[in-house]
Amino acid sequence: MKNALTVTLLALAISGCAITERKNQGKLDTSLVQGNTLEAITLAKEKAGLDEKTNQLSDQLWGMQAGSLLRMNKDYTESNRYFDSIEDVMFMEDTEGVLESTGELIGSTITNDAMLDYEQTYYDSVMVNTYKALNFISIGDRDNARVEWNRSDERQRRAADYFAKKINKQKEQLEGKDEATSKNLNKSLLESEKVVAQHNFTSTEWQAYDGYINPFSTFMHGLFFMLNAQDNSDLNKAIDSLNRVAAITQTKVSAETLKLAEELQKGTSNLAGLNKVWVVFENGRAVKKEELRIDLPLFLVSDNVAYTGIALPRLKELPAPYDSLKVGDVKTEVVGDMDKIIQAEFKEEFPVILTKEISRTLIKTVAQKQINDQNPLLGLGAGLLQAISTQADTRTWSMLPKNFQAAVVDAPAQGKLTLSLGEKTTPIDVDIPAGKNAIVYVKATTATALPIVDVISL
Amino acid sequence: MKNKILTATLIGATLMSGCQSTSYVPKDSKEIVTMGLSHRDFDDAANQALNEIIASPLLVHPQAAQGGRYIMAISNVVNDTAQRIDTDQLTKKIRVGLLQSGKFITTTAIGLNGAEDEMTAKVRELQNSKLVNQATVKQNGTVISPDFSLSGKIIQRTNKIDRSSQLVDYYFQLTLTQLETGLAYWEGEYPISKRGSNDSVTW
Repeated sequence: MKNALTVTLLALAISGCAITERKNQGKLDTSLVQGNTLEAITLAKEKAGLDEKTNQLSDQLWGMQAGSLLRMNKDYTESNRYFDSIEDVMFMEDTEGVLESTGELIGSTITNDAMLDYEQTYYDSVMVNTYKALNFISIGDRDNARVEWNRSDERQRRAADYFAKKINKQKEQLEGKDEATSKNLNKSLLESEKVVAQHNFTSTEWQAYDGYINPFSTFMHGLFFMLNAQDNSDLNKAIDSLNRVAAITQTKVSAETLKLAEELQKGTSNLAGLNKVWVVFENGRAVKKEELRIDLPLFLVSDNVAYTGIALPRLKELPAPYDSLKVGDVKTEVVGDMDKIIQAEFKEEFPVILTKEISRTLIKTVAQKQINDQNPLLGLGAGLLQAISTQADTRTWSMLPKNFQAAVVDAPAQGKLTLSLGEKTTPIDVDIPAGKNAIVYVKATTATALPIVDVISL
Repeated sequence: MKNKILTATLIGATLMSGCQSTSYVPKDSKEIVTMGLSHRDFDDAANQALNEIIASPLLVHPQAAQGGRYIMAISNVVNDTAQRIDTDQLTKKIRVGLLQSGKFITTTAIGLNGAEDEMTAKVRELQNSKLVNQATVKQNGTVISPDFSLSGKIIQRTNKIDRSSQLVDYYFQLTLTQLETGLAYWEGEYPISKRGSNDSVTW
């Protein structure tokens, strides 16, 4: 009886992590729908646990959420303090030694992925540097913005390298038979893949942007180097980036911006004479992860086990609060579909998540059977432990938008630009400083909360 | 089974938590090399630049023997790397060396984004002060305009070599422009290459 109690307590402790995490995510969502950014900031800061003295974070994911929320609140310096502290965590994750990852693997074998440290995705890392650069632009620190754009560009290069390498590796594995893998795992994988296939965890329609780039980040990189060009090599950088975005997104805004950059390079126009306004629109909230539990026809399953099943993360799209933003007569176009980027990366990572979950289930089920053979009551407890500890990792950087849109228009003669999010909403008048180029940054997280507008003159 | 897992986890945890102590690194030590730019890289680039500027026949003041010195203003050194660098570190080293060589004097009253030391302008505000002995107040029209301007750029190029290593090339580019004619009287480029692990980013 004592043993059964221990097992139950252990199970509850293990299940606690993921449940608390989801509860906090729910609280954050509610605050955002109510437009209560300050409440959301308090929650995110508390969960992130940034040490004031060492600038070390205790939770990376909440650090990113806090960085985003502080940015929404126009507290750019504080936002960058959070984003900066994430660089350290990302470096640690990247350079994590074999011992540490083995330790984590052992840990996750008896529990689940949701209990491990948050593993940053490639799109996370690109967006951390992108937001940092945008924050620096907002506070007028162009030197540091340049550094962050160079970083985001480097992160993009690393992402392309990683996925190219990964795809090659998978091809090699498919071609050569790996006899070292246990027969049970292989059989179970084959069987479970059939079941998994019925649940549409990934889709053939999910395709990455060419070269796994995040074209929004590349677009803003190009725009920055164009509007802050110190020399010809900066203009070359701008043209390179804008060229890629124009080819990939086929948008008017990227083609027009590219044309402006080319004219600057030819010397047929100059920055002071451009008089343009770029309107950038962050629309809605990115695709999120939800848990789907399925019972599996595991090869090893016998009558002597109380529970076996797997829990996997599945992507769920959220509706866009707005179609686009109208700037006078011009509509913004999508220059970066965050959902598409997340789906493509998830599709690449899913086989690993699945294999890990199945091997974990196999180990747990074998243990459960062995315990059950010796003591049926304890076996039941082990079954309970397994059932509760089977949980999917559904953590995502939920503050990312569904998509990034942009438009470019002439600076208004009267210094006022009118933005409209559709007939149901009141138009927003924005003051544009005369005689300068400007970026108007608009973020609309939900249809219920007021959009946040920031004007940056360059 | 459970005990084994627990033991393995504990051993793992113990091995992971190493301990580190603080120690001095000798100035010219080549033991510690970072993928990012360090003090040594700035020193190397600045020393090379200094030697070249001092040796350049174009940069000899006509009255050098009588104590004639060129005046140099510090313009912009663009940091186009992925690291947060204080570019003053580079120019400072060059300024100090040039001053010691007796070829250039740097003006702190004139800079691209205003004066480096605003005191030169500030003390002239004392011209109406009843408190200050007016004979000691610095007069207008005495600040010397620069003859040369030092500008530059630090560039970073990162390339993957193979699965585990990457090559980072840094270029220190510096230019001395003669302000009368707008001509670059001296230019220097100092590349530094570092090879290291491809596990993470270079900053």
